[in-house]
Amino acid sequence: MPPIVFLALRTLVRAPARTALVVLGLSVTGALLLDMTMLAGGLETSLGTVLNRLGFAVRVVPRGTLPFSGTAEIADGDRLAAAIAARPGVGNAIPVVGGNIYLRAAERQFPSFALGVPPGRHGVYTVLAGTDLSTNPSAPPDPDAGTVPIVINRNMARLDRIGLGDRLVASGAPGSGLQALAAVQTCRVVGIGDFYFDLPTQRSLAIAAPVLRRLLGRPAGSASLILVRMTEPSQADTLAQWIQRRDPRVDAFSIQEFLARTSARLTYFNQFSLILGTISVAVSFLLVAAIVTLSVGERLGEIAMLRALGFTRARIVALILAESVALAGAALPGAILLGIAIASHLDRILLSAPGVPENLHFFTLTPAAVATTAALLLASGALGGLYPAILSARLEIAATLHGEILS
Amino acid sequence: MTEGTTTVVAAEGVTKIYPMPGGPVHALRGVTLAVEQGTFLSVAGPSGCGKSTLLHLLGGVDRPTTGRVALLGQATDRLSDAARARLRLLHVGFIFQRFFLLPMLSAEENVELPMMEAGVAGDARRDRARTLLARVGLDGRARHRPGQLSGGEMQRVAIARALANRPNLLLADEPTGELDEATGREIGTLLQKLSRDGVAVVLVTHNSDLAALADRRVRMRDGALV
Repeated sequence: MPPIVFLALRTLVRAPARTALVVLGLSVTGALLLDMTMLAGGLETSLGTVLNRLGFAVRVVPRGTLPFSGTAEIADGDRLAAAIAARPGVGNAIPVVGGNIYLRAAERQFPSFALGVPPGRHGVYTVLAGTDLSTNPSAPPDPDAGTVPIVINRNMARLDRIGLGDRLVASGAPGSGLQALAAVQTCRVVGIGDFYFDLPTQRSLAIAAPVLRRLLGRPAGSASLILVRMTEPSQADTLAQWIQRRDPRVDAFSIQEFLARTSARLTYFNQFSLILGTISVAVSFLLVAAIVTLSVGERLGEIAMLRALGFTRARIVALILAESVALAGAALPGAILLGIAIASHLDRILLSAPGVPENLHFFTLTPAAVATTAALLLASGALGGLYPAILSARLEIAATLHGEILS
Repeated sequence: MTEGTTTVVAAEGVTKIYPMPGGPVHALRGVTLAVEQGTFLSVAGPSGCGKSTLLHLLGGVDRPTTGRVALLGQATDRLSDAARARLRLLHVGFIFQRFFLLPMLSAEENVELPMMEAGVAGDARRDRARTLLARVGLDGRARHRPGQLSGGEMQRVAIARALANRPNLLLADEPTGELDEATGREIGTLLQKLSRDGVAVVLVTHNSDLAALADRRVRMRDGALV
């Protein structure tokens, strides 16, 4: 171990209670710093993780909107999806219809968000129990029972006690009076699934796109969103530009572009974390500066003795900085553990707010967040040690030794 | 200077003036002095006569206002701060009235401190520290911390620390100031032995019995040798 590090560590254990209190204080400020670092990009990172897991490299939406953010639609969505699917590097392009419908089971009625999807495997949701709408694209929709298959989410299954095989009546309008004017369709639950962007109590279902268009009164071939899976994901930006040029009425985003667009709407989280993060760095700096200045003041004679023995000014500066950085370093494990615990609690509070999808998180623990926190905490320790280090280096050896003897 | 001996440190016409709010203080006035290898020199005089200032100038801790101090032939006022620190580390040992041992280190680790700074390897450092502690009569106290030692034992550790890098010059500033008479005499005898082993020893003291152990004695008054 280098002599300076050895001396710095021994100095810290010299006053164990004081060191423990400072390390505890730095753990708290470090925890806040980690939380703010996690919050700064947390939602974007979490959204990116879910989007990457879904595997759709490009999303096409009506111009100026985000997916399902309004009732705008791509009028010829099916045709545009077919044109996209024919491009090189594209695996498939899935036109999705989205909208709110109303369901009636026995005497109860409740709203639900419905996803209208084409037949076949598409990965827009994951079936947890039962079957998907149809694994065979050419299979007819259950002609014997006169019903269409639907896959419901876990919320609906749990909150409304609906299970596989149950029948529901779907309508595009609420209430019996309006329902009389709207299209109605009897549905049968064939599966229960996980819908990635559900709110905590949101009811969702998947249904064949033509049926949903009819229920919502949308024109044939329209879509709310087109999801594109690529065989060559590196071509996503090029494809998005091609789509944009082909149809100026839509916006096409690669995942990165989509995240950038979303991030622009979340600037208040960044500002919030920047302000609180800066405060925690400042408090860490002041804590270290105060305690190390105090400690240096108590051992001026020893420092003068080290100088007299032959320690250079630079070595004394290094010694004091090593003590300061060691304080911050000792606080790091506690800061990370405490930060994760606090973030987990705050995340639960924020996720309970209305309108927040279940699979997203405000605080996301990433190696980059931990590395940034460690770097900032150690840097604030080093900066905090700078003033007492300079003070020690400028010490007049003879005068200090003389003063110590007189005292 | 006796033929065949080497001058370890020499001061020529050295003055030291401290600027003070009430006017400059003349701590040293034209001091000329040479200390040879193996010499045991005592410097006596009343408080405030400039003994400690002279010691600090001889050890390269401070620079003279005028005049010249040559330590092992090198003019200390022409050396950078880092070069003077290096010279002190390798060639000068300091013994202080207040010992200034680091309380969080054992006796052995305190002795190792100058060797650590000089870059001596761990095993060699430990061996030398043990040897030095044995030489000052503390071979059974290597693992003890300063708080577990008596005043005399602490000063012995400080002497062992001062000898760590085999210095040419040993400077002792009132080393018995905080010790009882018997322990003070033991420390004086130890310094006498060290000078006979070839180390130049300069002892600043009020104690005339201790000063009597030196083979060369000088007195100071008002910043000058008398």
